[in-house]
Amino acid sequence: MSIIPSFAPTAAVTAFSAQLPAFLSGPAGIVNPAFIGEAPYIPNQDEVGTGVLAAVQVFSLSLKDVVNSTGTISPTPAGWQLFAAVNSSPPQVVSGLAVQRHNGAWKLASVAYGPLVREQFDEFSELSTLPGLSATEAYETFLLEIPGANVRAFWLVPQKAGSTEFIRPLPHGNAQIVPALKAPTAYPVQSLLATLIPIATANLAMSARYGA
Amino acid sequence: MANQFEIRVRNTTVKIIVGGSQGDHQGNGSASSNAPGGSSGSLPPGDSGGGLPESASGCCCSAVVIGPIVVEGSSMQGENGQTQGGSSGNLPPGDSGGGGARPNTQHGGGHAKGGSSANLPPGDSGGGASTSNSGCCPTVVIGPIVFTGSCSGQAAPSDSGAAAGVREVTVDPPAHLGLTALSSVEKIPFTMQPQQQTEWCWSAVAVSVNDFLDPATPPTWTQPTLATALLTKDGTGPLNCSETDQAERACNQPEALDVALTITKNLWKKGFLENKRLAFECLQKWSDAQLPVCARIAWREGGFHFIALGGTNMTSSGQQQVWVLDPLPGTPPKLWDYESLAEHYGLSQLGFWLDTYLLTK
Repeated sequence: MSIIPSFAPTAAVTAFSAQLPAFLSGPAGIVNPAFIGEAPYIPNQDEVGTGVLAAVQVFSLSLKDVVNSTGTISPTPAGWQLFAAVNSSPPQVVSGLAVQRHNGAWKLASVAYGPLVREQFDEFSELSTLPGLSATEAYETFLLEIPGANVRAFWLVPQKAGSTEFIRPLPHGNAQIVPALKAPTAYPVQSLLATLIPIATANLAMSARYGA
Repeated sequence: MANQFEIRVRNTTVKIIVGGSQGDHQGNGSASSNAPGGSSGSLPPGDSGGGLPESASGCCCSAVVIGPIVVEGSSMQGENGQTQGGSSGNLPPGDSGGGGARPNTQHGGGHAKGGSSANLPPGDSGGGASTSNSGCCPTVVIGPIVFTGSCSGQAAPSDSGAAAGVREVTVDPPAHLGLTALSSVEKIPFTMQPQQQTEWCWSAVAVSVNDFLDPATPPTWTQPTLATALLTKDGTGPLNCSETDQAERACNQPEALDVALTITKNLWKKGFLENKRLAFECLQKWSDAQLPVCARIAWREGGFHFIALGGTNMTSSGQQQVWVLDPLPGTPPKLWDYESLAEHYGLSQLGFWLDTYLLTK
């Protein structure tokens, strides 16, 4: 089994590299913040390399998509998540979400910091060792978000048409809040849908003022 | 999606469409399926349920389309032979609640005060009255009238239309509520607990806020104890949400954050701002006062989620950024571009900031 590397569009990488300093400590970024409580650690520009460690395309699946699915999914592309290394001890990673606006321009919409980013990057790097996948298959990897169902996962799409697509929930283990997705394995997309359809159906009928 | 109302006026049907996008009439509009409906159109200015000393003066309101207003029937001339403009005259400027999106609208200003297009400044409407059937029973079509969000001289973001119906407001925090008196040594981190159940973002946010504003050892509330209290209060109980089986089943329900914050005594009096989000400059003041702000995110195509906003930053280039704490497990703290947070939240970009919750300790 192998994972096919992803390469973000040049424009997305350019936007990430050019706009990242605005989200880091330093003259172009965090210069006069107002944080609630103790300020969080945000690396400075010298600590963050300019190169992109990895990139993964982000797709979204709505609750309606889940409810109306017939065993397969056709998510909508939403942007690219890019990772950059932080030269710190212990080594860290920052990630940024680059999105293309309606006018065609790419924008760095958000940047994430801290140990959880490193964990996600490690998960991404270790997908090739994930149990449950076909040993003879090569997979493209995407990041899938299902807002409204509170599910994020790596989505593994095989090169061979008709082969099973898998998802790897984020996070896994006890930190995963969907009980049926806690196991440290890959789940066929059909299993994901079977698990989520009741949640999606209920949350589509959510009362006014409520949230989940 | 436009809302259409019919009002009977002396044997005449007046059809008013609120919230239609310009595209409803021109064939290229877009509107959010989750944008709140037009109910707020009947509210007086500045009184949308909050009663706070809020101001929309610094807002960049989304475009709103009212009309076309169609007056049919024999009494079109009214008592004085004048066209009657329906009820849109009751709508406060920029607050019709309908939310039709009209990207790239050039100008509007939200100055319209009455229901008649005659009150609009020149060039500020989607059309004046036109008549047909010039005999005794003509039909009159007024509008569509387009209100665009050009407050403070700022144009609405070119791709921000989907959060239409959400008003940007300013509500300053009372000075006595802040924690600025605390020294930096005494400051504790404001952190977000990951939600423990799929539907418990409301509990995670409320408990995290309470831990920060009213710290206690042991903590006053946990996610299960708050869930137990709220679900018992609303009649779902009696339950014990600290028991795993009940937590995953009967207790695992979506709920209202304002109710949860009321139980923890952290919701500011009338601090629930429905269909409103804070202007960035206002958000800065709450951060300066060391008071988090909570937000309800609406997902286009279904679902809602609560988050907390834990700080702000303005870059030297003028970019407005907000520190976002999301209870979704595995979600690291993130710094969001303000416009992206307001209109395109989440990895999916499907979220927008719909409601606001102002806090107290």
